[in-house]
Amino acid sequence: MADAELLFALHRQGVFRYLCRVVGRTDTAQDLTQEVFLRVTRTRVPEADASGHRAWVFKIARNLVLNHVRDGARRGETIALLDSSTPPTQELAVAIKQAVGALAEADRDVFLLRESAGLSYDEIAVACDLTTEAVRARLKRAREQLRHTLDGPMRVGRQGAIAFRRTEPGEGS
Amino acid sequence: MNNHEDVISAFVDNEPVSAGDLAAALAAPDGRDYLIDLLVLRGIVSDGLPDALKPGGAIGRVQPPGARRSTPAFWLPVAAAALVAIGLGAGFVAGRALDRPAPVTPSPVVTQSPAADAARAVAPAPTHVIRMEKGIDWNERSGGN
Repeated sequence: MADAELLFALHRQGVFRYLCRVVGRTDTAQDLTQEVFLRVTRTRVPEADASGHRAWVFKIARNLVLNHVRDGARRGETIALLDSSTPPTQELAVAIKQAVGALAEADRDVFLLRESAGLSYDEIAVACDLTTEAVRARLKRAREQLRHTLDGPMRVGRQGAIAFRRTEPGEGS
Repeated sequence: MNNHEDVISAFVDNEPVSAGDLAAALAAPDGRDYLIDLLVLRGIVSDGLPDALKPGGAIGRVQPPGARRSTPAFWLPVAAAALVAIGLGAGFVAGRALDRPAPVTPSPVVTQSPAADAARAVAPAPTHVIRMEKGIDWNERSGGN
């Protein structure tokens, strides 16, 4: 059975990336990441394998960030996505922010849990209370929309070098 | 539903796919285009990440569970200052209580009228008179004494 500290070590990077993508502010994402793992410590970790634990942690993260975003919307706050401090990529970051922000909420969550956190389809299904087939469908729809919205950067990307990047859970940690 | 796209998506996402399905999908031009688009899209999304999301970024500030509660350094001076303040306050109150004068018991009030004062100013009449004579009772000398 995994304890909270092990789950923190394994998933803090993925949780932080996902939260940062949704709220768009690194300081807020840090606070929310801390809150996610505080909740993990206060709750009994369910009996499950590593994949089940990952899905459980991300379900907590997703519920927390959804409440945060909805509370912010009620207060009239604007979400300042991606406070990037690197001017060369700022334009691209803004374009991605707008494109991801334009996705339907559930499609966006599925896409970010896949691309930012590296969850499998089954794990996303648990985290989002969806079926695996629904995850496939939403992911496909999100990608289709992003391909069209990010048409300019996509055309540039098709002309340059590409690499096969696998998004592994906990990558970069 | 385009089966090639589903197979390519699953392959790119580390999901299990049939080798035959993958070969068929990659044999089709639309399948290859879709593979390239997915990889380009993934690259764009990853490259647009702010520095904080890259390894060694701002995630380092997040503490492990329980770490926040084990930082007494901030509370120690506050607790010490509170104890000193409580001690000073208690000492002040105790000092005030000990220095308080004993309660004054009222004494009978005597009033005197101005007429009584005037009457007391007049000397009483003599009961007998002693006469002193010069040469008998006293002598005068030059130079005093």
